Amino acid sequence: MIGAMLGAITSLVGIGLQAQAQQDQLMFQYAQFNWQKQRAREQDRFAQAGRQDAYGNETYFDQGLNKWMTKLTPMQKDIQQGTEKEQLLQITKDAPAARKIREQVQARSKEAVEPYNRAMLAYQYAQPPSELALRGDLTKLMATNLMARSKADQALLMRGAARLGTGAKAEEIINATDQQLGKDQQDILLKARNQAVQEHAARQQAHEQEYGPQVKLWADIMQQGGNIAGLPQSSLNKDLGTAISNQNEAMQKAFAAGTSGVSSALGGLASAAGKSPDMSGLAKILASIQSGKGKGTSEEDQTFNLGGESSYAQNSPGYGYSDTVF
Amino acid sequence: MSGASPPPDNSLAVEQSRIAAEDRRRAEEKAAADAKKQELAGMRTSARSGATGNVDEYFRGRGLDPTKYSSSIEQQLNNILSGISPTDENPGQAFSSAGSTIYDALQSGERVKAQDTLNTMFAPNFETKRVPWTLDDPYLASIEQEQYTDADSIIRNMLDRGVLTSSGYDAAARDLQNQRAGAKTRLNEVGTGLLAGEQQKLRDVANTARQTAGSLQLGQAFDPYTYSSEADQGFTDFLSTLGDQIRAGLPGKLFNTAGLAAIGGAAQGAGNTAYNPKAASGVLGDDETNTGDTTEKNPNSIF
Repeated sequence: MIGAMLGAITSLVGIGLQAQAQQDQLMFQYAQFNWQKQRAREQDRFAQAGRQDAYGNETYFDQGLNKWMTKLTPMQKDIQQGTEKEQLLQITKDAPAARKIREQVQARSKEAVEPYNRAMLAYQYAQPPSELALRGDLTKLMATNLMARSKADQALLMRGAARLGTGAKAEEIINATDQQLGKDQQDILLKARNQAVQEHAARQQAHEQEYGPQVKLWADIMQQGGNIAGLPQSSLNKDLGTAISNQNEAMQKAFAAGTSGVSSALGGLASAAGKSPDMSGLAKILASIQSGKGKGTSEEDQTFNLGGESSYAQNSPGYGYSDTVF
Repeated sequence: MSGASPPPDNSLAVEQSRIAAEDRRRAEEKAAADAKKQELAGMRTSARSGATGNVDEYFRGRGLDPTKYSSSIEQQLNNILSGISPTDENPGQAFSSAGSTIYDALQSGERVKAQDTLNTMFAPNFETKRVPWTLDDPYLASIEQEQYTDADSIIRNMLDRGVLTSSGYDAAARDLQNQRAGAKTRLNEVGTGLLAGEQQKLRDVANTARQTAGSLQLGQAFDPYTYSSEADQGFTDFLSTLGDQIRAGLPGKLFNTAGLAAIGGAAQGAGNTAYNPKAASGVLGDDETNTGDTTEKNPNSIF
């Protein structure tokens, strides 16, 4: 019985110590919460702080108007106005002028379609004669020429024979010249063949030189009818979009940083405040006293460690302490 | 001491008012959108109506009667109209180049039609089908045979006159036979050249027709039969003169008869017949065979 009484007293002392530790933890969390709130305020303030760029321009957040303000240096203001003026001129003057030129180019390009078509048709269908056809033509021309020359020679020989009183040789003369003509014919066939090869190549080349550049010229003019590089275009939407995006991003970051610190501190505070001392051990002891059923020392001793088993031990000063918290 | 009464809860009324305002706003927006839609539809209709006149004017400007093409013009304009977005603020823009677009489309259609007709008339390789490489064969065979007969008659005369014996004639005839292959080759060469020339002419006619069809202007008449008639006429003329053209290409003698007497003489050996240069050249007439006036002739004559 005395042992049980001592156990209960010891347990009460333990509970008292435990309550003290809990109080200390609560205070600690509260201090942390306050510190985080202060830090969040500082972060917001920092996020909304005016900033200067390398040129001396200042950007700041106007709390009253709830908007970001930009204060340019006089020179930067001039530059901005000059730039805007140039942009305005580009859009209102240069762009219409460029458009007029582009329309002229497009009209020219359209006009080039028909000549291009004709040049292509000529390239396709005004081909030089085939080598064989050229050979036939050359053979015919050479043969005709050869025959004319041969017959002229024949007439000359016959006239000479007649003058010499050997007109009776006419038949021999005719036969001999015809034989010679037949012999020469072989040569002209060979000549015609060789010349046809050369002439066909030359005509092919001439055909390429005549129509190739034409096709290319008109194709180039047609090609120019597309878009013109470097045509001025307004960048206003893009610039505005970038500025809004940057501003939004900065504010989101600042608020997120402040909110997360305060939230976690508040969570810790709520956790610490919501816990009560663990009295289950004491209740067991008192119950055993009332029922008169004493327990062995060994059993009483087990209750001594209640404080050590409590989760509060983890929150006691020094447990899991980290420099980074502060 | 009585406590201050709580403010009246009029949140329901506020919410109802907000919803009503929202409904009104939506209705106004819908009405505005409908009105805008109507306005844009009206603009499209107006643009479509005006486009017909503009296209007609374009056609007249090109020297064409637009009524001839009214069906195609209307169809093309309706195609353009159906392609305009109902939200397009400037539907007239779609019709701005309708005149030239429709003109080009119709012209292109005419060209394609003309080219298709030509492709039927002048199918691929039509020229080699019309003028095959065997077309000259009968002419070549006839000319070759004719020339061979002429050459053979020379040695036959020698045989008849006793200049050559039968064995001498056979040797000379063999030489003539050996020359036939070369003669045929030369004839073929000339014939092939002539056929190729005619094929080229037919190709040229077809190509000229294709060039004309490919650059045809809308409203310009195109008669493909002009070209087919030209090709037919050219071919008929060629065929009727083919034999003469081959002869003109080979004006001389295909067979060399100058050495036949010597060849025959060498084959037959020595004979008792007196030497007669005329007989040797193979041009002796019948009445001169036995005149015995050889002493009056110049034995050194090159003929």
